[in-house]
Amino acid sequence: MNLKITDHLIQEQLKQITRRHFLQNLSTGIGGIAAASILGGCSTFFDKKGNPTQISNNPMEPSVSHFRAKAKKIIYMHMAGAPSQIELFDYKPELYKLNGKECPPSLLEGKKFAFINGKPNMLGPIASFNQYGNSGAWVSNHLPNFSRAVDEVCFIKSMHTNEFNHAPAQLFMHTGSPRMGRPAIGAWVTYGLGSENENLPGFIVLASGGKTPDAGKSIWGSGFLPSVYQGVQCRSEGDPVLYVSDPHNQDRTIKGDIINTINEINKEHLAEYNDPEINTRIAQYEMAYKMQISVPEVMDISKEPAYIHQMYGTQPGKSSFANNCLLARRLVEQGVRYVQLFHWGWDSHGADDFTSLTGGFVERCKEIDQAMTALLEDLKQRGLLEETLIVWGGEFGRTPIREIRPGANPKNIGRDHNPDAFTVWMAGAGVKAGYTHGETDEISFNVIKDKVHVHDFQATILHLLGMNHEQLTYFYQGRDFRLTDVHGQIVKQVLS
Amino acid sequence: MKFFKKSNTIFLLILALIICISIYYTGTHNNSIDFNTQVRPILNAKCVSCHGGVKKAGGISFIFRDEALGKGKSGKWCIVPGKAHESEFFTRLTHHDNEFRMPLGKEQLSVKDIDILKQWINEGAKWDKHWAFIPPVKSEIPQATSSSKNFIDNFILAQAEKDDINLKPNVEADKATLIRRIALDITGIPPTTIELEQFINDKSVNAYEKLIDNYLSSPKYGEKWAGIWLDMARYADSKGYEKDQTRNIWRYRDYLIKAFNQDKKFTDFTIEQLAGDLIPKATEDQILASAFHRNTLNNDEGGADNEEFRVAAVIDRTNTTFDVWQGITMGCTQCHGHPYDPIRHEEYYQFFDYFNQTTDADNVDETPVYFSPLDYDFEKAQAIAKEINLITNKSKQTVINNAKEFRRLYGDFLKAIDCDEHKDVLIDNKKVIPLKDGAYISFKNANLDSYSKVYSAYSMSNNMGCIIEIRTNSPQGPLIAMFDTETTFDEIYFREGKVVQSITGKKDIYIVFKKNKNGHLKGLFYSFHFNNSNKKKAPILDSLHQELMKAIDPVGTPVMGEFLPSERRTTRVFLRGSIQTPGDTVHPNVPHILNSEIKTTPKNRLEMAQWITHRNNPLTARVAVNRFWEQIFGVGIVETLEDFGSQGAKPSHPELLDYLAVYFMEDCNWSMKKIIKTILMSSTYRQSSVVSKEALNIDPKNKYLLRGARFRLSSEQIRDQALSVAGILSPKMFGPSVMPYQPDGIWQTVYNGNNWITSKGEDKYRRALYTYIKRSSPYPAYLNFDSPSREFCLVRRIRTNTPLQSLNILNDTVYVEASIALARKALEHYPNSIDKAIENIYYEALLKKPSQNKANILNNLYKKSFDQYTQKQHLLVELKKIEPEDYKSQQLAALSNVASAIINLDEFITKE
Repeated sequence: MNLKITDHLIQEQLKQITRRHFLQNLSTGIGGIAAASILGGCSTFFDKKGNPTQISNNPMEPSVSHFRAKAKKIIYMHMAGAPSQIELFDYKPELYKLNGKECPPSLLEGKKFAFINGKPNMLGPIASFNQYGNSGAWVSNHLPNFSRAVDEVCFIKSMHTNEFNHAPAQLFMHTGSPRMGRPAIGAWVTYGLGSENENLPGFIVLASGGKTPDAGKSIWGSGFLPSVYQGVQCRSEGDPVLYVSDPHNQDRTIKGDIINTINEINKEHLAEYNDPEINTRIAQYEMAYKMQISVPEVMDISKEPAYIHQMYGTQPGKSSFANNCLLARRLVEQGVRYVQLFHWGWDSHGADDFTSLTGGFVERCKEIDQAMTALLEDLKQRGLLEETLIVWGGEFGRTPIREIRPGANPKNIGRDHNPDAFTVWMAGAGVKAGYTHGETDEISFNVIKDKVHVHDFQATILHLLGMNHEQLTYFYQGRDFRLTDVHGQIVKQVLS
Repeated sequence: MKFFKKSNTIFLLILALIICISIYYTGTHNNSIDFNTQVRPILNAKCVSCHGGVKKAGGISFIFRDEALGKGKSGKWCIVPGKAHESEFFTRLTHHDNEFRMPLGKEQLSVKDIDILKQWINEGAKWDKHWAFIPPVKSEIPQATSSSKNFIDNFILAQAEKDDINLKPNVEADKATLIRRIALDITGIPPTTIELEQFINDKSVNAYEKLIDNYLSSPKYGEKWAGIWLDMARYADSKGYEKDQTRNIWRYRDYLIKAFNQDKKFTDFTIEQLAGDLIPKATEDQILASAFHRNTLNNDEGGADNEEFRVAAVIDRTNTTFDVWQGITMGCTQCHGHPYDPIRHEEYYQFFDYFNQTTDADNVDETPVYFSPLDYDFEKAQAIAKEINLITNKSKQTVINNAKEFRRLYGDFLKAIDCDEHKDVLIDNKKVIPLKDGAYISFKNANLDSYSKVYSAYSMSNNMGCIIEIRTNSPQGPLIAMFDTETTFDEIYFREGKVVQSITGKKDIYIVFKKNKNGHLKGLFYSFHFNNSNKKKAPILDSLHQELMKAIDPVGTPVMGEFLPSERRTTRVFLRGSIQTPGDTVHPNVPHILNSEIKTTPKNRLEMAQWITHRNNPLTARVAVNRFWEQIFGVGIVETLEDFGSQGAKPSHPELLDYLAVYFMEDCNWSMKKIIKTILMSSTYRQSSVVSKEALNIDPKNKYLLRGARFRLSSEQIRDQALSVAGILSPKMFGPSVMPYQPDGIWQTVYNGNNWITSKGEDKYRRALYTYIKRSSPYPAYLNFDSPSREFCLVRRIRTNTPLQSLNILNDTVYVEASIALARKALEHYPNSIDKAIENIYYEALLKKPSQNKANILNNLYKKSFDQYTQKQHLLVELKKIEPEDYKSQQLAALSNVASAIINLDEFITKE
């Protein structure tokens, strides 16, 4: 068995060597893009073991993972604001009975809350639950479509984190550190695996819900990794990628003429100066031209057949989570390595209708239910689920205790942040489908079985993509950095 | 294929063996072992990951000599100087049993390495300091050659000779290349064609030197170098994290520009930024300079623990100070001892203590803030005050005082900071913070007309609060109202209190702060209101009064402020770097390894700053000159600007680095202009950057600098240059940040009403360093060209070359406008000759005439474009607003495309 894997790896490597040669031979014309260095100007570049390498490797070239893995790409859906596990997946019959009762002080001991103060009351689930599928997974009435798909899904109900404010917790979830400045998991993944599509960025971000996540663009930044690995935000409104549209006095033909002119002169200049960096620049201008064509193409969902639009609930030209789900499928189809979706608006404190479990929360559920189910089903029918990892979750959970905002209308019901228990789910390549991992106590306040820390979760995602989280390192400021810092245990039980 | 691979491997093995043997015979027998070049690299590579500052497996560490010479858990002496065979270290390296042999579970060390270590122990296990921890000295300048212009060239050529680099230095670049290079390096903006022609026509011997002096005296010099320093300062116009509200700290940027232009000594420049607030009789500039460390992030997110983020800011200040001035990665020691440099875990917190004594505390209002007299609109205040008959001609201070008095008497509320008397409170520009039970503030003759409601504006986090009692006549006088405060999640809220008795008329009012039932006495108090209305709002003043309030109540700049000695915080080590696990108490001190030639214990932040600028601080001058070098040549003498430690890159020219460092301190007397000039005067700098195939082969990365440096301009330079050659760059200096064009929909920050509103008039075309930087959503065009998001200090930008950059210059509005402006200018000058117009654009942009070939290519583009527009008139709609005539608009459009091609050229966005 081991031998086979080694053979396979060698074969893969050889394929890539051949491919590189092939592209190098083409490097004089359009098409020789990947041969040239995106990082040509970078004076030192470190390989994945932290050793400085010679320049003029394409940092985006697909590379062999640490070991063979089923997942080749990933779609990560983050519900920014932290959705309530109690109203979605973590069924707690006891909690209904406790509704309205005063919270015993013993429960509050040693707990830090963002907002809860004084003597709060317990809050029963604002949802009804049923079991679905062969796996008998519990899903609430808020996700009627999703209940169809539970046999594809692996729930982790025992997540916990260190952070209880949104921005630090989102940073922690995506960069392994609660402070700004570390690379996002998507940057790590493209750094480790490269990208399979030369005309599109390897790490693409799609945001919906009207706002970007609380922690801003730093949760898809490249931190200390070279900036080629940062997430590129694609948008449904305005330029799909910044600066990709022609200015008012140009069209594609004219732009083609301009780029040809630039590159002809650059080639003249190269002959005079011999600086290899000029060669890289030539390649980047060719790539820019290709992106101007391929990005709007892949981002245009209007040509999808009607049944697909029906399936996802998409409306071309609008910005929505459903559109982003469909885009995510189109992107992974094109070989994009990491697609990150953010959907904003889950911070259900009950301060107003938007943040009420009876208001905004229900709306959010409707926005995601059909679309994320369609995404799973669509990927499956195309055979893409076998090589794509799907992840869904928030940055922490919510309390079984009701939060009362001073001055808020009592009809609005909400819960505070709970870093000690929340639910995420995964599906697709390499994941044990129809399985539920971990357990919380009878009020979903603390994890009582199979705790999974954020770093464990990250280690598991990297593992599913064929990378060892302890070996995926970057040498910076005198030491090796990694996504999981010095922590992280792979959650073996969730692997298929 | 497979066979070939195998035989290849065997061949390599044999080759490696031959090399090993030859080194073995030539290397180890004659000379004694050098710790730094021979031993430390082995220890760092093979041993310290288990036996270092992080893990001390078996109780053994190879970071400090005394530890390496000690006994491990086994009870055996690790290294016995002079006696390799009695040293457990040596025994374990050569042990026959895998289970005992070190490195554990790894391959045995090479024979060569083992021999080096053996000989080293036998020679006494001498432990030398890493070079960077020994203060620099000038070594003798190597012999000059004919091309030497100053000592730099001698060192450069000597190093190449020493390393057997068989290349000759390049010839001097032509004058056009030189002036462009110099102008970009000193001012960040290319020269005008007039400056070029003056330089070409200046036949005097010192024409080159005059040129440098001229540019150094240009105010643009300060803008360029301040721009670079903003990365060090992690300067931004917002506070970071979720809310990411605007921060008013641009006066710090103004300070930087002025400091560079005045050629402030690097020592003063350093001390003012680290501790300007503590300098006796500090000037306004010195206080504003201390905003350097107020560029840390603030978390205004609801429910965030202020202390957690205050500590995060102090950690950031500690790390940044080392990153910027000492070039060592102190951040490592936040959690444990340094993995390979001799700095201990406690030493981090000893240094941390210098920054742990400031009064800022992650408060929403950014206290302490400094109000520059410039912030007060005296004239306006005076005019309004006159209009409402508040005062007649009085001094400025009287205007302010009277306005405050007015606010108190007629504004229907008592602003805490306007109090007449106070006890045991900290008062800053906006609010009052009680320090002790029974603390109070008082107002004399406050006007209290028949109120039925009482409100207070205050803010506090979780687990704070206090009782506020409002009394008349004295702190013990009759109680008229009281508050039991509640959490406001850091927002400033108006909360209603309980009226005990309503009184009228002018009374002395005492506001007394007492501990609440939980024993807390903490919060920020802004104002107290007495009125009849049911509205929970501050009383509404008429617009004139509001204007007056605004004029006397401007936005200040966050600066550093120190606690009184009696209020000092206790600093404790955070075990594993976590605020949750405090360890032993520590006292302020500097790392021992850097202090050996200074031997002082700085008591506070000011003394610490003086310690950094001490002549015998081993790193400050080296790190500083290395940064200038990197800015000018693209790569530092120590390539890892951020790490001069034993794991950082070795200096390419060690003697030159040290000579420059001492030269900077002694000969230049820390003048930054002088050291820049010295570098620019060298013939090394003046070389052409054309590279021969041979040179590319021998020295691909130009480590030896036998040719000029050639590298892409920074994000700031690319923008400024395009605007400058197009003639639309605004010369306006200083002031608040501006918002140039940015694509729509970039800013979508949560809970933040701020919007990107494109600046008007010339503010759209200011230099890049004035662009508003929002941390959670930085200006995208700068990010594309490797600008950091300013969340933390970044001492070295890594240059990349990506297709997003190409798209940026091709399609971003600012470059489209620059292309059109260039084309219009050229058409105005040469209305009858497109050839001349094209040549003119190229000349304006690159200061050279295009070669015939390049000119043909550009002409060809013009013709193609012109033909395209004949059929595609719809593309001319926008341009017709500028140039209504059909033919001319078509000309302008086609020529704009030529200009666009030129500003996208590699030679344009590169310093050659």
